[in-house]
Amino acid sequence: MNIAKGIAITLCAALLLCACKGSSDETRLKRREIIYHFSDMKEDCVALFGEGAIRNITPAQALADLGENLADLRYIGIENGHMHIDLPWPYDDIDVPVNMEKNADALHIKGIYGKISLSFTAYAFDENSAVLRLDGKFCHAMPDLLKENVLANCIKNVVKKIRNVRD
Amino acid sequence: MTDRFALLVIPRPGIDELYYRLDEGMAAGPGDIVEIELKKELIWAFVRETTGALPDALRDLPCKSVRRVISDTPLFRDRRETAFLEWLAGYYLFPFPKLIKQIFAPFISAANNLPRRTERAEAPLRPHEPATLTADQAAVAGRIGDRWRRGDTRPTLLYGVTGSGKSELYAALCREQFAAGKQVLYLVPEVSLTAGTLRHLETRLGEKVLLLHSYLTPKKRFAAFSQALRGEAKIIVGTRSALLYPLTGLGLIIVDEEHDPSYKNIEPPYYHARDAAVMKGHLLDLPVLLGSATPSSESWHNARSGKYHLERLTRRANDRPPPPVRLFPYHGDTYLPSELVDAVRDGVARKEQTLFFINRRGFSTIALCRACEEIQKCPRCQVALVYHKRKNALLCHHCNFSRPVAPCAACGEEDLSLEGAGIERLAATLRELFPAASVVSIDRDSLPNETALSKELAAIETGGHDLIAGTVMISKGHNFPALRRVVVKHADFLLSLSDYRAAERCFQVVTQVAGRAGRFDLPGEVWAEALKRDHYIWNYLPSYDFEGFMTEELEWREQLALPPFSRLAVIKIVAPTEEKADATARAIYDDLRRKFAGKKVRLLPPVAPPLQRIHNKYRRHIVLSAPSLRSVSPLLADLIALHGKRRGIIVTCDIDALSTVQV
Repeated sequence: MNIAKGIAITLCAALLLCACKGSSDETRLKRREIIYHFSDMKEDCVALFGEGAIRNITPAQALADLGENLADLRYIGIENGHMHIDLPWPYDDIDVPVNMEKNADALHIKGIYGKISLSFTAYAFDENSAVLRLDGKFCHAMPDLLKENVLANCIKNVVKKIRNVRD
Repeated sequence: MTDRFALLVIPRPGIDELYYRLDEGMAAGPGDIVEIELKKELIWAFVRETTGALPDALRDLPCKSVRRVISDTPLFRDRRETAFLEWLAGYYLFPFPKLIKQIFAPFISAANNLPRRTERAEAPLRPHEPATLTADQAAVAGRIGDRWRRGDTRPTLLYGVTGSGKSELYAALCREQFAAGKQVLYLVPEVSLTAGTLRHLETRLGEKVLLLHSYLTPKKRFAAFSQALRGEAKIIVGTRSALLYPLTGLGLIIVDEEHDPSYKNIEPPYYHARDAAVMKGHLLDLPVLLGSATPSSESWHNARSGKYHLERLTRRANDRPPPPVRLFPYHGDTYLPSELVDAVRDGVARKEQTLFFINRRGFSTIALCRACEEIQKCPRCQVALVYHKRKNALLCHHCNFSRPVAPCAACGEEDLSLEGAGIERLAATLRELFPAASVVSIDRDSLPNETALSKELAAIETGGHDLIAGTVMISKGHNFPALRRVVVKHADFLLSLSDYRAAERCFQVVTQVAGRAGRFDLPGEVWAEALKRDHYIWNYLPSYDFEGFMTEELEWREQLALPPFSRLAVIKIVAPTEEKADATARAIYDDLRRKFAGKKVRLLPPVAPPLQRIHNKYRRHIVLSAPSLRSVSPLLADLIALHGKRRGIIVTCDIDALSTVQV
């Protein structure tokens, strides 16, 4: 009885949290905030889901614009099959070859050692705007907050750059 | 009613963190200082985070309540400020609770209260005298400002020759931050430079400047910190510890004289304020400006490899060439060439100042027994005692032990020979050679406090002294209009240190002190006493060819995999007996060898450092170098925790140590 009750309460709480999160994220996107959430993973990894809305753009255009900005994101540069991750001194920068997969709905970038992956997707937000979303994972023997900073700045920077041109 | 709990950092040995309940109405949040009861004692604690539920393992255990909130406002309003301190503690292998204790314990009274705010009449601002930037300065300021406005916060290294007007450029960049409603944290390496920097910035900016450094009383320091936190000052000038305080609306960190080793804390946590500033800038997403006439090898390497932006100011602001350097040989501790003596005498008659630099305190650096030839040493530290004529005593510069000059500690003989020269002997020699001149000595022993130092510096600025004898205290950051000539005694003395960074340090010290000459209307000249004329440093130093020197320096460092091409860590063991120090060092070394077998880690066997006994404690060092410390650090942390638990034994680790030969 107690277990069933506990599960029910947990489920309700989870649903409530999801509902709250969903609606508040949408509101924040409408307010033009770039939002992101992190989750801890095992073995020196952090994961991020982040997104931002861009006006006067379709999802396909958002992905196309993203491609033009890949070489010069905030702390990440992707060019000629290589990803350069710019870390603050006293850490050394990271250079890693990447595989890129592109289709109509998404751009997947994966480091060949499996330690970093960036998946960009885009979806229509309202009549006139689209949301660019990043699902990223970054594993490395360094404090989580540094990895989080790299991933969060990646989505913030690319959304701002596309906004500067589009809206 | 919903439950609320606070995860508290407890500033007590053996306890790191505890959960306490937040009763209804208790408005404590992350960054607050609160009072709790622990073991029947009321103590303060720092709120790391708040939560609605306890971890499962603690859920059924009783949980005490927080008694009250001590701080008026959260001291850490921005989560990233706490994250910065967590990074600092983690990177430099120092417990986070101990770091919080180091920062806040001096402020909190025995009754767990923070100092009260006292309203004081504000000192009137100095008259505002804005400066016009030269074309070079304006171009550099323009490029830097453009990048910051574009949101490019990659750190910038400003390499500007001495007298090129870096300070004017800093002031201009500060003004841009103020216009954007932001605060600036301006770091200088030494407390002695804070007063001059404050004067310059207040004059140039017409804004109130706050000082924040460890020489202030805790009450004054807390008042300054609180004012900064409330945003009541736009610019905060401080030494390395100022970086640890959270600020509101910080927009820029300036690290002046970034090459200076004083930015490295010499006790745990062994943080380097320059590197920590770069990290703080990264975490808070704000620009960091590093400036120097002789950048450190790390920053130069980072700038050349693109990690930092590099900006140059290669001409002096007065458009004069840098003062020419003339070398003269060593012919004794008080020797000065006759040509120099004549030039100084003429200069005194014309009211031109000369600065004599020697980087040694006291009168004589060695007291030698004429009978048994024993060098008189400190009984607690085993280092040579230095004769101070003013006190007529032999002093230990490490533990302040003092004793009369005679008799010899070994044989009782009264006749001791005082060898070697320090600043007192140099000043005495100058008074003998130039009886008509006013001679002032600028060193820690002659001017023991800030007031005395400020008074003498002001007198020099207004031409009140003809000849200045100074230690490293006078070597940087000062502007003396009538200073024509700089004489550097024992200019390459630092090269005799068996340390890979000796040439870099020597180049920096001599260039900095030489740079005091001819900064205004008078053309300057520099005389340097060189013992090792064949050293490669002398191929570059007389022409101030910093870039040439650094290219050669970094070439051989790369070949030998020395920093900045590798990282150094020095594990320091302190024990009450020599046997315990040796045994612990050996055990740690054996552990390290096992753990790092097959890895790219170079490990040197335990050694006794040059100062192997201080305060009657025995010291051993183990030097470790690796291409990166990322994977090494966790293992070092485990070892420190394991071996540091033994009674009376202290094990610490200096991450990114500046030297292999640490005192």
